[in-house]
Amino acid sequence: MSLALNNMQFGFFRILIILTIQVLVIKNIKLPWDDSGFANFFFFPVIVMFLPSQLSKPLIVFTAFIIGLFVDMFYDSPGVNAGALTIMAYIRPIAFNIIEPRLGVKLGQESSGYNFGFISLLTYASILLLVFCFFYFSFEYFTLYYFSDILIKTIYSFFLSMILVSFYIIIFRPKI
Amino acid sequence: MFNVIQFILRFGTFFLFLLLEIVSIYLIINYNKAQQEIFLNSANLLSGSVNERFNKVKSFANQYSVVDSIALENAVLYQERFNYPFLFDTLDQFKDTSLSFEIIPARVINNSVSSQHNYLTINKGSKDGIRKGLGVISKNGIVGIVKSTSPHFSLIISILNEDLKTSASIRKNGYFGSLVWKGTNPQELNLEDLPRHAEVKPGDSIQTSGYSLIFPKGIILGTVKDVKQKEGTNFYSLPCKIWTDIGKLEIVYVLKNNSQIEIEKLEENVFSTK
Repeated sequence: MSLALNNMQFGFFRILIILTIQVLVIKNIKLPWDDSGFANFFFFPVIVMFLPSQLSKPLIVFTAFIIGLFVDMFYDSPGVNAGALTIMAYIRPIAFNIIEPRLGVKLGQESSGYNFGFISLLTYASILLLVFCFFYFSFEYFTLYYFSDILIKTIYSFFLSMILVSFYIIIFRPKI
Repeated sequence: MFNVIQFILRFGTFFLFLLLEIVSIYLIINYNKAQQEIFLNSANLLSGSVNERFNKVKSFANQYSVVDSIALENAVLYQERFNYPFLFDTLDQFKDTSLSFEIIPARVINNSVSSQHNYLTINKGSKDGIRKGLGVISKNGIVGIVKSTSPHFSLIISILNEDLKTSASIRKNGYFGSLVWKGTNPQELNLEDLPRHAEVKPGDSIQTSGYSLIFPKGIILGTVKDVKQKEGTNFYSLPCKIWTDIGKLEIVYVLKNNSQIEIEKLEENVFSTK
């Protein structure tokens, strides 16, 4: 019991730190050669990516929405982050299925979460991040009229954010 | 009943997801200026051309009344031209291209008066020289200000929009205030922030004050309906009847002040070097 509580406290603590870093530090990063604002760094999706999969699906989707709203408060864009992150949380099981080891172990039976290799985690994270970036910019532009701009920004931001996410994966080697 | 519960449990995540997405999109549209504009802006989307087509049909049915009203406008202009020739001769001497307004006629293809934030769409756009911030008038007074343009259409914030404040003055003595819509009667706007010592009577005409680059001075807008003082302040809030019937607009004129960019650039330079 005490162990679970500790885990939970640790989880909350980590979520808070990641959010703080996102809204206070990463939000203000500006690349000197990037005048048109193509580069956006997204680090906070790692929270939703690496939520333990023992949690029920609706809870994960709802958590994603709340976290998105929180980030939106600092980005002055109500709904944009929340919408994109909710979509990402919803398709999380699909990305999970891609890297899931075929051992006949059902999702949720493993109490301590899965340990994946670096490549698997990277694949999983990049699928979700790509989805997140694409929907983020789609919601931001809110029209497919500027589809090329959405794609350029998505790709640009995806690679930049992926650097941060890779560091996270290397350092913490998270369980899913 | 059991089946229903089972169904909801089975697809619960999906419904929750759908609900949260709807909430997000609602938030995006309601609280973000840019997306709201895109959502409203029929200029950029398919609806612009659809509206224009529909409007062609509508205006065909309407053409006689429009032609009549234009003929009437022409008649009034001719009357002034012939009755006061000396006036026009004098005016010719003051022809100064540096401060001239260019006038671009346009047709209204989408219009609303029912919302709190009303917009109009017209069938002229950036290719016709229209840009953001230009004033739009009709024969009876001002209509609004251009908010955004696409190559062939422009979106105009109507004066029947709570976000738009235009400067207006009392014609007989020049005291000025700002004209705002209160969101109820499309024929009634409030002239606010008019100092208390200004002498106003119901029935006085109000006109554009000319204190902005958007509208020239002296376009008559309507008359004061009632004089009452805002409680607790030294300012009047006057309900005014305006003569433009936004709901019936067919033809509008965009005023293009050719020196606007130059003046704005000058002011910007001055204020940025401060």
